[in-house]
Amino acid sequence: MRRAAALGVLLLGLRAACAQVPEKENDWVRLTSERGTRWLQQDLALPADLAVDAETRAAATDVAAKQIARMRSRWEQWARSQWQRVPASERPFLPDRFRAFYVNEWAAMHVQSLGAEADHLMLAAWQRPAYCRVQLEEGWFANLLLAVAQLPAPQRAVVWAAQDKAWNRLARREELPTAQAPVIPIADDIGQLVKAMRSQSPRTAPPMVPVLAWRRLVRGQETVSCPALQWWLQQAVRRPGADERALSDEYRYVTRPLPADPPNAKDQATANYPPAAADYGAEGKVKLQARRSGGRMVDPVVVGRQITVPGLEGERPIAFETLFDAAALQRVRQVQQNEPDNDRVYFEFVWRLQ
Amino acid sequence: MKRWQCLASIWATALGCVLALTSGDALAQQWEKSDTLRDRAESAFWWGDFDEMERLYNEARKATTPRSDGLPQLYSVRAGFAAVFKYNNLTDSYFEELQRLTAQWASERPRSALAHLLHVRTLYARAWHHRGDGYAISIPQEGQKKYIQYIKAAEDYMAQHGWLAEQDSTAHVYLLMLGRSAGWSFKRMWAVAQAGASKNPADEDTIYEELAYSLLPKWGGSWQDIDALAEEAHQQTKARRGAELYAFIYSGIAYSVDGNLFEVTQAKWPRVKEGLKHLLDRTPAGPWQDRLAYLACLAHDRATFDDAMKRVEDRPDLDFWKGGGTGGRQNYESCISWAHSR
Repeated sequence: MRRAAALGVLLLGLRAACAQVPEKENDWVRLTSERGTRWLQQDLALPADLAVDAETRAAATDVAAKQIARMRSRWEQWARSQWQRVPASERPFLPDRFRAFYVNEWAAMHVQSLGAEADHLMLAAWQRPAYCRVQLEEGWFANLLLAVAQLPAPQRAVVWAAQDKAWNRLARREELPTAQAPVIPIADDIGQLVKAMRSQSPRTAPPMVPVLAWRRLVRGQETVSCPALQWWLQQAVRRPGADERALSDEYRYVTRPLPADPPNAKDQATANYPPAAADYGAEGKVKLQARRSGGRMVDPVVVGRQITVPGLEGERPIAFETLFDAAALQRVRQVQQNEPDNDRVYFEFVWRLQ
Repeated sequence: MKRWQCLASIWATALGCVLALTSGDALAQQWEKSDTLRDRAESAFWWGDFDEMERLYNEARKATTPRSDGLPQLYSVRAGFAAVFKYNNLTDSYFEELQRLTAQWASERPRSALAHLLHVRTLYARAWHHRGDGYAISIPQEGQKKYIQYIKAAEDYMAQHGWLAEQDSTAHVYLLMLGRSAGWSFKRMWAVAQAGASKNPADEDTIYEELAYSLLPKWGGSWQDIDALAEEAHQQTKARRGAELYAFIYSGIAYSVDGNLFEVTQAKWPRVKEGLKHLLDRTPAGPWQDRLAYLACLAHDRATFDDAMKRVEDRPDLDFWKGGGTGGRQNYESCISWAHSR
């Protein structure tokens, strides 16, 4: 663990050494604003050959352009506050901190609710079979456009207007995303559904489409893919007392973009520390609850997170919150305690780069 | 119809026959080529996008332009749907999901012929999943039971939804596949084929090909039965199509013949040639120049072979040189060698 942590610091050091930070505050602010704007333009760009009508494309482009413009001041505010916050000796690390800030803002844009009416429409759009068929491998905004394009024209207008308002509120910090990680990870929930599907009579789970049946039942793949999420959503909306806002939040949360692992992450000796967390300098605590049965920990769930990321002081680290979950869950499952069975056993894992 | 009475008995034994190919869609085994419509249909089913499936299906039904080989576009769409049942190492749980899914589609869209037909096609595929493609005697008892169970379920479903056959010739194609599996009498199969061909003449070739495939010796039929069918089909359609259908049937049968088509079967080369030339004239972009050259080679008709090879040039489509139990490459090189030996 210590070795991995040390390497994490080394990686950050190398990145910082390569980064260029202007000597004057105003130059740094301008550079950061331009960088954030350029990245957002790239992330909100639509492929030229996207199979959507001109009207839908124009509406999406308009919403994107407004968001790019309004985020410019957000990049500038952040750059100025960071310049003043960090000591001069740490300024070489500011570009890395901005990477974290950008990734976090980008995730927040995904997670932000669109309001009851548009969330309801998007829940329906995500469940349409065509949604997964037309999805691109990359490009969240293009995929949003493809989802919205399946709705009738008046509903498309509702969604774009709501998206615009939501991003405006977010950029001005008038409203922050409320979506939280599901207590039971959707991957586990899907696994339970598959198990139950085989034993329940009558069965409550909806039928799987061929691609999902093939992946799950023929190949045994457990990846949370678009059709798996769609299947999960189809049964979740039918559960008694299903809350559309909560489901919409969960769906958005689990499909938000996550910080990417650095190149060659698998080659680095960071197996004990999630590579992306090390790359961004993320640290924190993860609290878990499990059931002790026969000395083993079963059904562990994450019940608390306290994550810090340089550059996100005072911000909710939406993009980074679950970075340590998988590693923490894996460790709990490895714990053995020769003590009586107990329905509630708690663990806390602390992650520090040293 | 008297000529068919002698064939009736073979259907009673069909279930016990040697089955080399897994299941219907006879042409799918012969004509699988680069086909974007087929791929789109497969993709739509794969992702469970019924609306897109129905859109493709309805467009294909209305299409007046056939594929380059003269077959209807509907054929491509059906082949695309069928592909989802044919991946390697599928499990019964996979078929169970597809059965549930298609049942749901049919329930949600009671007036959609395609939704119901897909459910039937799924039951048929599930039956064949249990049966496998081995000798009848090698099928485990449980597999045989399941096979009969699902074929019966598909038959019952079709019987309960008799209106399907009144609307859609795909119903007739699937009925022929079911009938072959269930051991229907030839009389019954013939009636289905006649009804389907009159319902949608564009599907005529597919329907007769399915029927001819059912008469192969491995299904308990005989070359005489196939010739009787080809002759009858020819008589019924020659005023409209000349010898096209006769040639089409024998061109298809040639893929399943071990040996020389014109020595093993009762195919008449002059009529096959006439029909292939018609098909070639009507659909010059199709595979018929290759098929004409290959069959001319089998018939030792050098003039026709030379003429067809002028179109083939040095770019043979080897998939259409298959036959006689041999690969396209071997047949092509053998025919070239024969032509040079003059």
